[in-house]
Amino acid sequence: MTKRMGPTGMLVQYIILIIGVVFSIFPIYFVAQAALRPGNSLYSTELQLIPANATLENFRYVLTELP
Amino acid sequence: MAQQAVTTPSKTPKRGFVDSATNSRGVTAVAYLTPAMIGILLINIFPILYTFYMSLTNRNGPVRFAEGNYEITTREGSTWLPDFANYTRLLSQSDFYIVFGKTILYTVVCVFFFFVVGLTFALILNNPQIRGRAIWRTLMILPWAVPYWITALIWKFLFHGQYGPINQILGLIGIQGPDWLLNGTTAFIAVTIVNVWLSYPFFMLILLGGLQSVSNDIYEAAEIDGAGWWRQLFSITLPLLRPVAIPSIILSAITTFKILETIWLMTRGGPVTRVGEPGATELLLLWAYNQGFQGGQRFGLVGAFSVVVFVLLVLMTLAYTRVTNANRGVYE
Repeated sequence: MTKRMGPTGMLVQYIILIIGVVFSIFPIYFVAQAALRPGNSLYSTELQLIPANATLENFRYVLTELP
Repeated sequence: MAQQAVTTPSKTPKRGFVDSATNSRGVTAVAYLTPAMIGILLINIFPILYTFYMSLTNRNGPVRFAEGNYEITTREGSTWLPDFANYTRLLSQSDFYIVFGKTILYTVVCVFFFFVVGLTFALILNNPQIRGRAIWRTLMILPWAVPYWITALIWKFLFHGQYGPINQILGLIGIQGPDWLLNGTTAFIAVTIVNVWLSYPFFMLILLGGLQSVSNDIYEAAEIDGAGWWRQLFSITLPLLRPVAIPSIILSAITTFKILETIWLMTRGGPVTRVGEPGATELLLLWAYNQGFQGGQRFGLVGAFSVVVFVLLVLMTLAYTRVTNANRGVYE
């Protein structure tokens, strides 16, 4: 629409956009970071969005040891 | 073939030569078409006809039906059921109508949210004052790129009662989240959220395309007339989006109506609150699948069911082509 938005209107729009992007990206991000977790640390009851002791071990396992 | 040879003007005077040429061309065409035709016959046509055949036969497994009074009476030495027993059985069964109603509810809710969420983001992304619109758009379209089954498995974990991050985030703000997939209502909500996540990018793209074809002059005129934002939305934007929106609404209604794998991977149609009744997320095709392959083995019944659903979807598809044709008439 042509009307120039005031600063509040713009802010509301950006907030909605950010909520939307979080909604659409979060599952993908979650899988990506889960791939980097060592051992079975995925099954923790505490929220952990950035994996501690990130490792590429899972990739090595998939690429070399799985038949 | 011969007629064609006669009617087509030929450069060579010798008729016999022309005939043989067109004939050999026909043979070539048939030869090229045959592999595809065989494939279509084997993969598409044969299963449909076979399902129809099965729906008329007594191919129901040994497991008795819940109420136990469905006795199949066959004629001597024949597998054919008299009186379309599978159909009458299906259509007189209250489970079928429960499942059917639930599916319609699910479709309506899902398509409503597809449209509202898609329209919201399309409107925002169509606003020229927003910066980096290409980046936002790409980020928002990403869910579309993820295959269905992977999505379903991801969300199944996200909704987990203890290990799932959704409940852990809710815990941070002090809300004790429910065991999403173990409770009837929340499982239904969860399955709806997943389907919205999967499908709103489609609507967003379609509506964005529609919005970009709406001329700015109309909005300027409306503004001079003193129309506010909501007024513009309902009097200009939505009516002008109609030709784009209605076909996509019908299309996604059809695909939502026959949703199977996403929900099956998440809940398997459960949670079952009472034994012998369909589970909370057991929608039309899931119910049929579970009747057929999960213990029941009522293939005759499922065949009848498939035919009924097939007819329904054909009707919806006809409505779809009708609507798009009507629009074409208007806009050309």
